[in-house]
Amino acid sequence: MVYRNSLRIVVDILTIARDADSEKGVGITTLLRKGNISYSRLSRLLKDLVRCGLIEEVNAERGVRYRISDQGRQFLIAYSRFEEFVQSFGLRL
Amino acid sequence: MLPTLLIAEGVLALVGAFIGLSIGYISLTGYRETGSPALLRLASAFILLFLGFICEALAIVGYVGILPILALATAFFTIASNFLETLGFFFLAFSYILNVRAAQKTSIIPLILPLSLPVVQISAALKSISFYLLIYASVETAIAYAKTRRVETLVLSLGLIFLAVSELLRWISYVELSWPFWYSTSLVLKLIGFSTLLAPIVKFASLKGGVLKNGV
Repeated sequence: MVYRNSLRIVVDILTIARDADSEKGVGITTLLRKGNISYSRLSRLLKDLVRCGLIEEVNAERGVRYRISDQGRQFLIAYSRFEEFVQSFGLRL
Repeated sequence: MLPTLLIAEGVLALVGAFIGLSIGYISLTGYRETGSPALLRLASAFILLFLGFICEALAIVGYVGILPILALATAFFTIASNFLETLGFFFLAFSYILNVRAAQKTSIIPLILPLSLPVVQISAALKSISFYLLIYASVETAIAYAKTRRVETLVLSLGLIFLAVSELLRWISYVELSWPFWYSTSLVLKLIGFSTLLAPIVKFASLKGGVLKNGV
């Protein structure tokens, strides 16, 4: 099992949100399940991601859902680019 | 013979400075965009190496007498360059130490700096440390290649080994009678080592267009 640092967890959550329905967004249960993260940690993380503008909250009938913002997409592109760069050195982001 | 080789070493130092600055700049941009500590360590390493190589070039310029005013500060530039380069290689090696710990390996290759080296000068001591740090970084890169099978990682590992061997040959040139041969070989290996450091830059430049075009 490879250790996931906090940046990797952020990227995983953003990737799940990106791969979900772009209009409806993704529910917290899906994020919990696919992100493999505890509820308390995910709640804190989502608050931070919303505050930074990487994820947007969408009010739905059955509670709040989350969808990736344009800034979040840009972040994932940058992450992907620099991940390749760092991996050239045999390192991990 | 010596001034020609020294000038060649000065030019090589400038090439190294350019490569160090390029990698440092890319890493720093990456750190600003992603906030990754690994990129910050890489940026610190290569910016220090950039400064170290600039000092090395200035020391050579002073020693050869191209700029007489720099001749007074040759000793300072020499020690500053060795110190900055050692610190740069330390940050590079440190990145690998943390990388190994993050991967939760049960054993890591110990970073042992033998204290029994006949070191009599600060400069020689710093060069010795640089040599061991380079060897450590190259071994870790080789281990990373064994896992990922990325060609550029292998190229980088070989490059770091070339740089380390270049340092070793430089030492030999101080004591050997046939020093021009060892010194020239050391410079050639240094050039090859620096060239391989271009691999991640080229890879990044080629990706930049592709990723932005295709998206993630």
